[in-house]
Amino acid sequence: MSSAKTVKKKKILVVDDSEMNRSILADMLGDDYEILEACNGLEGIAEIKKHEEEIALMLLDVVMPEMDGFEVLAVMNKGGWIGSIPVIMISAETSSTHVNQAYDMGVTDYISRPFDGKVVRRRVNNTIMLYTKQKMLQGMVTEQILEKEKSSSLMVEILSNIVEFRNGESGLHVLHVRTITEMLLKMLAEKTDKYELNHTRIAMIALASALHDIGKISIDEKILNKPGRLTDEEFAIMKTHAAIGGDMLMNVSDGSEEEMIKVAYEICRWHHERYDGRGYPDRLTGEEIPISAQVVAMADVYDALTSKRVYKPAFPHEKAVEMIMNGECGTFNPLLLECLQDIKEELQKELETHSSRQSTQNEAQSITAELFEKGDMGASDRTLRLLEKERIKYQFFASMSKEIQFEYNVDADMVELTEWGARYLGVEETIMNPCDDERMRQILDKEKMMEIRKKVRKADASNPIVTGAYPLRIGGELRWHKLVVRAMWEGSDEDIHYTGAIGKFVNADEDYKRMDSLEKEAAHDTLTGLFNHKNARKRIEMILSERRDNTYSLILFDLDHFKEANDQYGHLFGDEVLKNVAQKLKDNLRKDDTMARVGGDEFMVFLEHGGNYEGQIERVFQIVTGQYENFKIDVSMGVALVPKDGEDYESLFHAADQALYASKRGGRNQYKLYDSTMEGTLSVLSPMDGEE
Amino acid sequence: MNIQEFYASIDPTGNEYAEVMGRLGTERLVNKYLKKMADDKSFENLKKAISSQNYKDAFMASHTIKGICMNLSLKILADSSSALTEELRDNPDTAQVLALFKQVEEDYKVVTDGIRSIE
Repeated sequence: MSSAKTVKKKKILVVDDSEMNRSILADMLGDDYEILEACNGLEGIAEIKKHEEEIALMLLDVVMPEMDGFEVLAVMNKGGWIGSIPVIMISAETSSTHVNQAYDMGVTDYISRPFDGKVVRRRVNNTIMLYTKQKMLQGMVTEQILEKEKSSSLMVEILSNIVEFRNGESGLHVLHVRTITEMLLKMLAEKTDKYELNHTRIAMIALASALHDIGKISIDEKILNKPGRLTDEEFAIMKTHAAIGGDMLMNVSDGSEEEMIKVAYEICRWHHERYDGRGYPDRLTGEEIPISAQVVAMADVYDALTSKRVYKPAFPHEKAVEMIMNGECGTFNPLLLECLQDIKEELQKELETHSSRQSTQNEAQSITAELFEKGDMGASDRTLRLLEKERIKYQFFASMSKEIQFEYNVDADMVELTEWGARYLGVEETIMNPCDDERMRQILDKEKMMEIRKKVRKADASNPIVTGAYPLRIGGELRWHKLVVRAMWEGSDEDIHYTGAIGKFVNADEDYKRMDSLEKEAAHDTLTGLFNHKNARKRIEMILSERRDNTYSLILFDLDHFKEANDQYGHLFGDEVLKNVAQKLKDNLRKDDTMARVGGDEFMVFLEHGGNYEGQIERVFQIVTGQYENFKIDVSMGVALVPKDGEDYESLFHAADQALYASKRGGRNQYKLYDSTMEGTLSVLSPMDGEE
Repeated sequence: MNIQEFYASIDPTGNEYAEVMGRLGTERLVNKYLKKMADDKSFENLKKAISSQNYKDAFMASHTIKGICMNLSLKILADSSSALTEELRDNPDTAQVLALFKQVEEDYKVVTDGIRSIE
């Protein structure tokens, strides 16, 4: 290993007017630390400004010329340094008012003169250790939040993009609702313990708030974006978005008890409930409505009022608050109304200057603060033990977490992997010139590696963390990994230089698959714009459940010799064929008919018929057959009738599938109605694809 | 006179010697600081400030002497400078200040003469 790491001594700043005192302290601590000296408060502050990042501890005298110790503390409080530089006060002043005042102003410890060498060394060591750990913990917490933030914001991004796109709302709505939600919750937490709102809980609700309208994905665009009033019927459809959103989240959770999903479910399903019980879909009353949904409901209303929509202009902030307070936009929990009243000024400011990055930082700080408040912070041995335990726990989990952790040294152009990471990737623990390393390039494309290297180099101290998602080829298989890297520098001020980075790859294959399924859940078939199978099924099941004497046909068809079109003219051409078929369906069928692409080249249509089903089926058959450029489109079609062949989706789909198969066996390019003699034959969904 | 003998000359109990050794660890360091103390300008500053009735500077100087003496376990001088410091802190009374200073001056002489005679 060629990376000569010079162990830098930590710096201690001694601020004392007596040269002798400074000298004694320097003698006591000089073996382990580098001592910076200042002979009065003013010089002390100057030293802090110069070496802010490097000072591990400050020893501060009280009585000094120019600026005394308490004045120094006041400046440090004002400049925010008191939070990052621990201060031990050393003084001959032993009156308890002095000592208390010092503690009140944020000193970590107070040592009275005359001091004992061992005591000073011990207390200095303890304090530095404690702060180092706190910083480390804070780093950990930030990272965890970033991680969380990352995966959630990815989800939010996908969903808000879809909703925004279809809804004509600006993506800011999602951000605004989130900000308002967070502010309301914080105020609420100050007012009452009733809802058990701690920082974690608030952060989670705020994040989940972004999902409140995902159910709108299933609402027809024409209704969503209709200028002017909705008809009763349209409004009824619009209202289904709450329940549908809830269902979507239920489906995503695959039964796992994930708290985030639970909260999101509450919000999606109940953000249109009203405190007086006159909301939808479940007409919950008062505290039956989870607090998460109550708060998001208010945030949603506020942002809707202050935003321009197709059906209304934007109201100014004051007017919006007034309308909510007067109950013009629904009834709310009186305590929440109080919260709104309390935050209204701040709210207006916050929304104007909202920055999500900043809020992450704030979050991290307040969580850390909470952690330490609970931990009864002080340089007590107990706290140190607890912290040590946390550290061991973290290390243990890190080693169990199956993360590929690495360190990159830019001078040597060398990557060092942890033992586990190297084994997992099947490479050495030390890799020189990774971008040109044959084995590394098999795992991750060279361009990707260069891209990462470039991104990290471009990072700066205010924003040192780079994240991304990359597929790694492991054991011949591509798996998605999330990358988190932190760039590292050495030196200070002008003399700062980039030395490399530390980071990790975390397997995120599951997450991405889940995200993928969420997207599927959310979207129509992206190629054709028809329903996907899942949504078509839902729709049909709903129609069937409300059926009285209506009669329907469920038509299933696929394209004959489609595989040849793909093979001969390429997949893009194949896609055009599919789009052409979909377009013909859209052009010729009624808007209320259910049309879906349920598989590769397999389509489903569900139509109401007044009795003349034969004519209708013939018509559909004629519509979809035809010519697309050089390719002749023929279809094999199977039909099941409601109620004759079944009254539930399963039986109908099965029957149509059997009839489709019969058509194929009958020589293709035809349609057949289901009859019971077809029973027992193979299914088109089985391996015989009919196109070999 | 060696260091132990010096301390014995101002504190027959021997406690102060033990204390300072415990604090600073080696005779080399104790010696170093005793010599520094003898060369320290604080006493001169104190004397000047007292004669010009600049009690703010006097307080600062007296406070420094007290701190140094406490670090070096020079109890006689620590006690007298401490008393002077307290008198100077708020509304000092000129007569009191002069009386207390006289004591500090005496003790200072005893201590520094002793230090200078250390081999």
